[in-house]
Amino acid sequence: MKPSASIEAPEQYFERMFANQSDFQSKRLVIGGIAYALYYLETMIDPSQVQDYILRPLLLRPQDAVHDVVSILDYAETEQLEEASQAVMNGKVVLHRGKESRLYLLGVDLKKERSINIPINERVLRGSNEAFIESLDTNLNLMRKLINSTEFVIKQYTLGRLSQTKIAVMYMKSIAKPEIVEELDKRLNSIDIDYVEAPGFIDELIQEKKSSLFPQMLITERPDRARAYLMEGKVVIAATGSPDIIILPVSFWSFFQSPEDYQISWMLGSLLRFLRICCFFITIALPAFYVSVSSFNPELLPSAFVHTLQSSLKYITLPPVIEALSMILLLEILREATVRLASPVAQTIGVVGGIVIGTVVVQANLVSTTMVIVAALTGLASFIIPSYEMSSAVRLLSYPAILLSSFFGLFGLVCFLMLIIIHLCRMHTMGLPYYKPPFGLSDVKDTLFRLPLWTLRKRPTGTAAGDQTRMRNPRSWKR
Amino acid sequence: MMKEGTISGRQLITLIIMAQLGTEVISLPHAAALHAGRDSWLAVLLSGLAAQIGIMLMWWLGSRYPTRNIYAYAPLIVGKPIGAVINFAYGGYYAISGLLVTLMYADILNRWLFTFTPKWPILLMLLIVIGYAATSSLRNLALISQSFLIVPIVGFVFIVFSGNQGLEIRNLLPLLTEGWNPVMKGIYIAFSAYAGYDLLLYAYPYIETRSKKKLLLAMTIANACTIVLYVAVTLVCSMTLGLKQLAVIPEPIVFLLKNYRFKILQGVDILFIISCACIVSATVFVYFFLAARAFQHLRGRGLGKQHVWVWAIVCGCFIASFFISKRDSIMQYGSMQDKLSILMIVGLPVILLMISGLRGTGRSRA
Repeated sequence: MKPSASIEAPEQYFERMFANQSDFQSKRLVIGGIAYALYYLETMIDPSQVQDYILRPLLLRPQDAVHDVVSILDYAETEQLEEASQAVMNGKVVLHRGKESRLYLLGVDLKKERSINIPINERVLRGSNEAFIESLDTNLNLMRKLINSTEFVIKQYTLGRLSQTKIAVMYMKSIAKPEIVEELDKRLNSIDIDYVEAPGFIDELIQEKKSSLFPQMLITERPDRARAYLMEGKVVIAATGSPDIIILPVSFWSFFQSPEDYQISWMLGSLLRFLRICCFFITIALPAFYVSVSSFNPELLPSAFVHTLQSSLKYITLPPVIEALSMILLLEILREATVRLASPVAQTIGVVGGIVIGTVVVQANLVSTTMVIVAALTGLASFIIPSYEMSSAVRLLSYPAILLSSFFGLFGLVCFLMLIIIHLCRMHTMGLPYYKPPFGLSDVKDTLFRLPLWTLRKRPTGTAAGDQTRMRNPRSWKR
Repeated sequence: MMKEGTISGRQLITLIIMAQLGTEVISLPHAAALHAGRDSWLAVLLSGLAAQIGIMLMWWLGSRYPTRNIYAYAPLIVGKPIGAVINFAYGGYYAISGLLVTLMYADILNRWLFTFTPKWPILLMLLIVIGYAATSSLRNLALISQSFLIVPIVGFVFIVFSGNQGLEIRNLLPLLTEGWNPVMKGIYIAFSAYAGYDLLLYAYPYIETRSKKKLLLAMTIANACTIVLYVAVTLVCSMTLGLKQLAVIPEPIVFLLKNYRFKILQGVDILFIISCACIVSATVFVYFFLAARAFQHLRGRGLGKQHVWVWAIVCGCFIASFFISKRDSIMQYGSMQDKLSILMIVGLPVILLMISGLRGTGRSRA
């Protein structure tokens, strides 16, 4: 709908459009004999900017064209009233000058955002201490500052019929595989939903395997981590209102990488990486192993060890399965309680969890001491895994493992591990295999271990299609 | 045509090794010693060489039709009706072989670990795992095999070093005491241990190697690895245990592994038997996969879905397992399957090769 030259017509339109909006304002002024009208949502704009950069210049130079007078960078003109009303929703001031048929859209939106904090969920000892925040612009700014290259592309999408959430897709033009970017574009465009809760909704709506426990996208709050993956040809999705960004397509091994691995010496880094992968198996298998050894295959262990184990089980009435299940469940309850509890009372958890449950349960002969050790070790091992999604998934996997090993002993556990491996081998993310067994040196370089930087000369072939050279001649000074 | 992703030469090696290894890792020394006596290792070695000849034949046959798998070119060679019969025969053969391998393994498990557990829960568990794997594509099967390869490698190291308690070279001497006859019998018995390389019949067009020769090389490497493993197992067993002992112990390797006593781990033998589930399931899922593909190829444009066929086979095998429960009957069927496998993976390809050579089909395409 086009506005007519008269000042009343758009006013009527806006009044009708924002009839019940109590924060909608329309101001009529006359400057130098010309009628002006301003439309805006007072909760969305910064009044001091309106006064300083719109009203004052207009007062000083009432006869000049609006474009020349107002000193605002975010300036646009339109003749469409619909566009203007959307601009009002986005926090712009719509200015209408009498006898003109166009409307001026002036961006003076109020920016309320928290300052950049240190990462809370992914802490490291060495390395950057910046984390993303809820504002998309700030996040993009952080990323641009980390990658000063025209190769770094940011593509914006708007998702959510009602929420109109802004989504930014980032990738390196010369490295990323064009098919992946296109596929992602296709999937994002196909999303039709009323509002978007990033990153959870996006993750669920674009992932391939609907029913898998394993996370198929890496979620991080660290810009340095995002950059590291961008440089491998991966794609990063950021969204307004979310301090977490999505990295895809990632492989199973990415969930065991931490930015810190590359800050410390490669031997230490490899050790830590290997430790995390071992912890993956410990979390799944240790309680199940305990169950199968204590109830099925005690001959697996030397007799002295079995005697110690049996003596701790002597007065326990519960069967080992129930023991294991209840302790692992308890661990989960404790973990959930720690997350939900307000921080001043969080210490209670330590007392309740550590002393009451840990000690008293054993004294009451409900659970054996060995089981307490096993449960504690399992919990700790799962928390070592850097990705929250992965560590939760792995902890959940220990329940079926316990159940199966209570039926079949160690054989059940082995079958369960086989099932997991088969499941992993069958998974794909964005058309790439999710899990590749470490087979050959090129596969373990940056997965099972973190070999020295100068051995990682090539980018991973799966995601990096174009330029694969990461380093040309590192350490050439040595010759 | 059913679509199938390509696999690399390295993946082929793993797939073939894992398909060849089976319960024979545990039972071969006993079975070979029963027939070939002291020279069982020689029989196993020669049998591996015979398998190599079989591989060459298949490679030759496959290279005549480099864009098709056996199920697709069998009808081309002998015409549609007989081709369908051949495909059906392969499907049945692979399903039966898979069932027998699973049964033999379950039998071993039952005797060593689950003395009082009925057989069906164990079989069900195994068959579910195998069925789940067999429903995936060839490429995923290769990935799964690669993941499981660690088990035979570790097992091999343990078996080889278990010999350090006293290898008696005199147990092997003198060579060929009773002439070549028992050795020939041993070759025949051991040959079924090498079955599994017939995957090449199906996989030939999906392998990404630079040349035909590289493909043959990959197959040879795989077969060589299997030969080394089997011969090592047989040698270690027949050097540590006497002939009389070997004749009565059906799973001698488990006994040898019992020798290991670590401060923190005692039951290496149990661990080995249990982790053999990986080796066995890797064999069987390849069989079930091949069977499902064979049934799918009954009709030119594809018949049914792969996962339906696989689960149907799994169900069939589970039901059939109730009827073959005694060890004797398993062994009986096993010896029948030995004959069948020679017919299916040696006889039939040779016949196909001859007919295709006579009719000259496929040459123009090559």
